[in-house]
Amino acid sequence: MLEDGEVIEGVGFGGQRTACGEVVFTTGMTGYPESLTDPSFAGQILVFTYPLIGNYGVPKPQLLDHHLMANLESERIQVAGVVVSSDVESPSHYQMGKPFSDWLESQNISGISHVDTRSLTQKIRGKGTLRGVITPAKQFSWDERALQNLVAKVSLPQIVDYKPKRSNGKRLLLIDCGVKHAILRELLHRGYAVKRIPWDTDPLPFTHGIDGVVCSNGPGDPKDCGATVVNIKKLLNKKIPFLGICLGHQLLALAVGADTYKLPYGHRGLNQPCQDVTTGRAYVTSQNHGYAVNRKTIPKGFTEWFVNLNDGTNEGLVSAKQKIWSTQFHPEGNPGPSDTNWIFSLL
Amino acid sequence: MKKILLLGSGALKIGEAGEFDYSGTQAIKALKEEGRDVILVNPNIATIQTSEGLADRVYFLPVTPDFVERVITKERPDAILLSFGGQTALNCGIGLYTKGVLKRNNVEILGTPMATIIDTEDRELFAKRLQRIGLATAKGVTVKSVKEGVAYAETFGYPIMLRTGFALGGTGSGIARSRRELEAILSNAFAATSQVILEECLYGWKEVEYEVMRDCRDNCITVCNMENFDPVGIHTGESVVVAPSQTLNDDEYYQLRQISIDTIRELGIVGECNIQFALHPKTGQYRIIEVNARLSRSSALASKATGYPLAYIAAKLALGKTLPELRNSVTGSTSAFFEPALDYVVVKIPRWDLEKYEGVDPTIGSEMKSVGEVMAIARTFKEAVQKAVRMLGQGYEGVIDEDALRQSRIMLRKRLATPDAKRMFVIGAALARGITVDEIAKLTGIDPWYLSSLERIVFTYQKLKKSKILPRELLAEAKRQGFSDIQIAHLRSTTEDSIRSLRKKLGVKPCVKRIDTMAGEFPAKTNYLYMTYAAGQSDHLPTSKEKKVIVLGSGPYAIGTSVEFDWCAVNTVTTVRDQGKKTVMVNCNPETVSTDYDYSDYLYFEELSLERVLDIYDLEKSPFILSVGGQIPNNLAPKLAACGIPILGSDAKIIEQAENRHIFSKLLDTLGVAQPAWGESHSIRQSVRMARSIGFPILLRPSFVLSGKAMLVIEKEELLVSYLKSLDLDIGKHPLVMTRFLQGAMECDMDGVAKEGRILIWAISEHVEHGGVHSGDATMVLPPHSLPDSVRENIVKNAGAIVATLGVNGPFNIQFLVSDGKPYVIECNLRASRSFPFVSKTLRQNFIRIATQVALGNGVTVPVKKTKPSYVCVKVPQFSFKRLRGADPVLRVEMSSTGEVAAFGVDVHEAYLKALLATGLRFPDKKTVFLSLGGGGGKLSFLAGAACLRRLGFTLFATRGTYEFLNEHNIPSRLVGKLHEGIHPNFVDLLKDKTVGFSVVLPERFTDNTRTEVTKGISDGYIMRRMSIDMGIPIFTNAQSAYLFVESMERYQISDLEIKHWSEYKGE
Repeated sequence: MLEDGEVIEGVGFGGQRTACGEVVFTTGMTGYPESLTDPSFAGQILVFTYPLIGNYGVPKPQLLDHHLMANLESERIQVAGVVVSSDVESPSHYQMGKPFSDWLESQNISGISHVDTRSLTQKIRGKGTLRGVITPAKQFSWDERALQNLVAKVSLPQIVDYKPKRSNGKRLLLIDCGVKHAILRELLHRGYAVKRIPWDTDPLPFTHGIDGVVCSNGPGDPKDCGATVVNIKKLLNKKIPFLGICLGHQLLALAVGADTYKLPYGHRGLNQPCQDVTTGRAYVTSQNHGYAVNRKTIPKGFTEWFVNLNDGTNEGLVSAKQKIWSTQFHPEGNPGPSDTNWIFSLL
Repeated sequence: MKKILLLGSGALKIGEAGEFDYSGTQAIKALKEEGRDVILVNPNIATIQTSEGLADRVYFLPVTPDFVERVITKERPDAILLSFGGQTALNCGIGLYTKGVLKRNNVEILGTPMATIIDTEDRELFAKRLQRIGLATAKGVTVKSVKEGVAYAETFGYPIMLRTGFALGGTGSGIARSRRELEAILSNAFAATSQVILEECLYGWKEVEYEVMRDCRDNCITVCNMENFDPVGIHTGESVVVAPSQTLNDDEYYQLRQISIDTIRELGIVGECNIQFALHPKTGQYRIIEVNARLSRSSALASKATGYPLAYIAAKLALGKTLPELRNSVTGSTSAFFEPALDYVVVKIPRWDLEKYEGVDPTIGSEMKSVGEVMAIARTFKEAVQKAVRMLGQGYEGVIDEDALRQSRIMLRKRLATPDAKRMFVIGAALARGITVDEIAKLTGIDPWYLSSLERIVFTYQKLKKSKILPRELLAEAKRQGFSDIQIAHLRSTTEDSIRSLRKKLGVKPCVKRIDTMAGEFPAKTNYLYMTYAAGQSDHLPTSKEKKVIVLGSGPYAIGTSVEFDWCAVNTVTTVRDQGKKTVMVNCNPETVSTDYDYSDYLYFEELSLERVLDIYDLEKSPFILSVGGQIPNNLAPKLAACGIPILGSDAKIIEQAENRHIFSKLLDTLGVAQPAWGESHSIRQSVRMARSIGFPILLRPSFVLSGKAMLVIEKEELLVSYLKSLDLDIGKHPLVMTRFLQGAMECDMDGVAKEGRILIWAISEHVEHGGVHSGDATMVLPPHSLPDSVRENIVKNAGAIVATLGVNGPFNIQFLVSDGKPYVIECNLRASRSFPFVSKTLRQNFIRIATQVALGNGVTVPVKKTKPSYVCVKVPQFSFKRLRGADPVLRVEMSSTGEVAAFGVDVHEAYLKALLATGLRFPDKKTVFLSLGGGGGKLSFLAGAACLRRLGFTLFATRGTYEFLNEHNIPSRLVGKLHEGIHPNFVDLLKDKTVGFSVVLPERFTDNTRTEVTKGISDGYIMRRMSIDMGIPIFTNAQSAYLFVESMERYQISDLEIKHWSEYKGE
């Protein structure tokens, strides 16, 4: 059921509980295990526009390090619920651990199939993101907590140190607002040692001798992360090189005085075209965000780094004086293309 | 850079079909938009790209270095585009480059640089370049002889894969499992090429393709990926292909995507390329199999599958535009630099016509044999695959076919392991007969995901059969899985109509969805539509205010249905649009221009079945034009008429009158128009009696289809009796039609358009070959070169009477035989024929435009009477026998050509020679010819030809009968033995050494097609013909065309052939 009262009937699968969330769509044709475990999707009911989901099942979860998955984007399913078009059936892949529906069931995440996801998508496109509920019950109530404190829910509450297999001699601080594990894997793969700290932890005590800070992606409205914005300001004052990704990009923008706003229906997919304004080069990017930086509010000292070729929205910031970069898209891919993963080498 | 030369791909042939009309046409549009002058060389007269109003100049000439060089010298173009005309254009470009023609004339190659083209065409260079950047290609070596190949394989081991460079669609490729197999394939391959690649055998790996684009600023995207349902080992043109990939996870998808981009960057391609991968199903290892640095069949498919106009964008990139500055023409608002997101599944299935050939190997493998393809769009694989199977137009209603179901499990298992053209139905039957998904996966190498989906269809099939009642749920589920009403009706022992009514009553109706390239993220301004049951709401809801006309396209290309019907369909929609009405196009062939979403206002990429056409009518409520898409739409006419649906043009009743042999024959009798004697028999005895009274030879048309053959000629009573006895069918139920076969008769085609029974325009084309050769395989000459005026007048008079009596209101085609100066009507079709583009372009009168104006009933441009043109245009069939291993290349009453070319000339000889060369015929470089002129008529008909060859200084080699015959006529020749004679040199020695310039091997009887049915033996004639094909020796199997060729050689040297563009022939 959608917040405007429309009731969509379908066939339930996975968990049996009533799921409340913001109904959003993604246009990616692969990568459903990655999307479902992406913490940025916390609090959302995810509609897949691609009609066949579950074909290759879900890989057997593998741990790479403490609280770091080798083949998923976090340690659990993050979405509130899943909406698909067809039966989720007969998966086949040599790396499969579980069928898709069993996986959802094992974590009690509700799914609904036999939904016309294309017309639902068109509705969201027309009306903007809606709240919705997936439920097997006739009677239910909206859970007010569904969309509250999302970052706090997905950020790991402890500090973890990660060592790369082959060090490049550099150390980074990672502010975890709900980091996709691919970001961590990218950094480690490039030889950085990484200290992962919770979203609201004061980073200053850890800045001694570090080569840069990465502020991760995460769910919800950037304006709900006041503590992080304050922390970023402190870091920038210390002239520490900084890279913001997705929510991290929006938080940087807020920290330097720009403004953010809610997009009508967000960018969620693996095919978003972005152009590097400074070079003219275009990239296909993986995206998952509902808010954007208002390009008109970009302060002096910063320029627009990337722009979305479809709708002209801001996709990144770069500082003229300091080593500060941010991207609205996900350079790590997973799911999706990693055309822009060179960005991780900037630090 | 103002003037650009564009090379087309010539005739449709196996491996190079209509997709290049699509790509060339889009390229021309893109170039014209940018204000360039376009010079097109393409002898394929049936294409849209060679139509008026597209290229500035069209040369109907062979796409070979010699001819194109002369075009370049004449036109002085600034640049050339090589990647839009398939392998033909690319090879020609390589030839021009190596000869230094391009440099000498300062012609710049646009798009991908020549060095890259050469590297991608040479597998060894290609592998080296990719290995340099750390990419994996299949391990292998290039060998230049059979001996060298065997030596390598003996150390590398078997099985081993063979491929040839510089070839379209993998001629001479295959898997050798033993030394013997290897030797056989190698010797075949070396007949066509100088090098063969031996590679590690990747059989059983998944085959995945990516379509990649790159601009001159190094921006790259992949437009689409596609997964072959069949594993590596089955040519992608022979495989069912699914887009996007279904069984790849995100890692695999994006790893291969990244490699695709790395590859295109390394190679420096500008424009589009296709990359084929093998992906190991259990380890995720990959190999790059192939890169096509040009538009290909796959790119046409990707273009239709995604809505991304690949060829159009590639042409813009070749001019130096960049992807970010171009727009997505589907949405109109977003960027062309993006990767389409699909919210549907696309399934392509090849269409084979192997039944049409004698002796052809029915299995499928690494060589291409299919002649066309269909593409189905739906929201589940199940629905898409079942739709696709129906789209083939071969009578299948779904993946479960009763014929296959009747086979034993042993037979099914055998066929699973040795794939043939009926693979899908064998799998369907195997699942229905309880062979497990796992076992089938093992036997076929097909991913279990696909097989499980098919299994679901089988379950539903069984449920439909067994269930006592048909509840809404089951009906809806069956429809979601793509079952047709007929199929359900059959399983429920009821009629299609009653299932349709029931469905409507229960509200089980298909929805219309739009293809927008963005999965709904942005609105589309185009109407590229498909229908599905896996949906709740339609995107497109037609308004009743618009005045629309629905045009049905041709469906898949097949023997007998080719690009000419696409030309007809496109010209029809264009005319309807010009008349201020909206157009709805329905077609399911991804190789066409009619399925470009910008040619019509609404494009339904859909089935041409009665059910689906009625569904579309229910929505669009507009009249149909059925007469321009060939057989499939034409056959729907009576059914649609019976449903009371408005059809524009000739009334369905008169179509029936023209097609019903009894009614039509009576009509001819009333009019006093001659027809060959005929009769219909219901028993063997009656047949014999009837044949006697008609007189042998007779042409038999069984009313049932026997292994695909509809017609055959029988010359003696004994043969008729033994043939009839060999049939285990009840002739009483399936009557036999027999017609007097007029020997040595000239055949003519009359094409025309009539309005309310009055002929508005007509053209008579004369066949070079005598009657008995299918009109689609005949060489046609316009205006006729030897038809006497008196006969022509007679033909026109007869046609006028027929047309008037029937009250024809639209296009028509009447075929005549002329025997002893008297025309006999042999067939009459009230639809556009295959020769419509040929006559329209030759006479510069668009027959389809006029026919469409007639259909719409207003403002017919009455054509100006023209005097007989001062030039001649000759249309020559293109055969693909080289690819159809084992097929007898003899011309018969059943059609076997896959395409056609035409050329203009000052006379029939000049035009014929150009057209023949345009089919790829190598002009004899040696003055030796091999003659085996068969029995009876053949020798006499070619006597003058033999004499002419002597005059030309040819050495004649002849088999005994021919040798003696020539001797009697004082024409010296050298004797060559037949196999049983035991003398050497025999013809095998002669042909194997490739010492002959060309062969003329006429059938022993003119009815050689009865060979296998009646005599079951393999004749020397067959081996001679087949060997000539396999050895790449030009061959003629018909006396008249062979003679015309020899005559033409006597009159013209290649250098005499004029280089003139189309307009120069109309005297502008």
